[in-house]
Amino acid sequence: MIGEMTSNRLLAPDEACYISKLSFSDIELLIPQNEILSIESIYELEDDTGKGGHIGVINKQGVKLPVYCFSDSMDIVDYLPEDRFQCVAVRHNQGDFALLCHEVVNIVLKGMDFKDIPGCMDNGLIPLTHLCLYQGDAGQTKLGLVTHADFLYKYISRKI
Amino acid sequence: MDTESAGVAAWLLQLDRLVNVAIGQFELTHIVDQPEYISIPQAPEHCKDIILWNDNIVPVMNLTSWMSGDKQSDAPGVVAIVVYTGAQNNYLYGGIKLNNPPVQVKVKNIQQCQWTKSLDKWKILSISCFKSQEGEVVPIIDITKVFSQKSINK
Repeated sequence: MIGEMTSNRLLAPDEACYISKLSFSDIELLIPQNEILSIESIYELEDDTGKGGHIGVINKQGVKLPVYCFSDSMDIVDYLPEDRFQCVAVRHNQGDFALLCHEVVNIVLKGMDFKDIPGCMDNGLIPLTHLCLYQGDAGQTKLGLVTHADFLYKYISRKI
Repeated sequence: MDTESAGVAAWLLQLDRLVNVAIGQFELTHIVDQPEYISIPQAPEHCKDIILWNDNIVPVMNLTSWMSGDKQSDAPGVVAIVVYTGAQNNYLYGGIKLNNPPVQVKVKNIQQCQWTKSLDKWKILSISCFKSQEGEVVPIIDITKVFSQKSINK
């Protein structure tokens, strides 16, 4: 599982990683599927801005989860870009929150080699845990931006 | 002809119209012309891009941006693929943005010179420097330091 991987660990060729690909603007984030709580329509978004940096909330079984929206450089924005149609609730150790995305696609990757963020790039601000190469739909090699709900939560907390 | 009289082979990397740096002959692996950059969100300005080369994830360094601390133009240009030793003694690849393709030069010991004040910042990433035939002070950069977290993000 990607959630248990160690840095630069090459998984066995037949070892599957169940990943959700969250796309928005030109960014595609890869998150372990087991960290996805639910995928809601943008119409579930309730207007509730406040001081927490969130753009609104969604109601999950009586609990209001803050919904955050990223720009194409992953800054937190307080407006709703036109390309966001889905609201992804993610689960982490300190509570749940949601992100607005253009699309969420579940994929299965095998034999992945997750690389650490290169040292020269690692300024402690990047909202990613690893990078990887994977095959896109058209068979092309793509760069995967790997992250986790916990890591994103810490990133958002730092930003707001 | 001995090495001293002939000089040691090195690559001169033109970072912009004014600044050249040098690396060892065997540190340059490949040259990529007009590569396709992939930006990493929130990465530092001097190293915000990745290129995919031979199934490797290669971070690309803009040393002009690092030197000036400013945002530089994103002209595609040329990327020199260099090889260096990682923390686990493994070989890793990095890219350096250039204005023009690298030029091979010979450097002799007698060309070694003192640092000038304007090049002070290069000391962090360099082994030494030499004076070119045109009288320019050229830092000889340490590739491992360029691509390590502690040196470049100071």
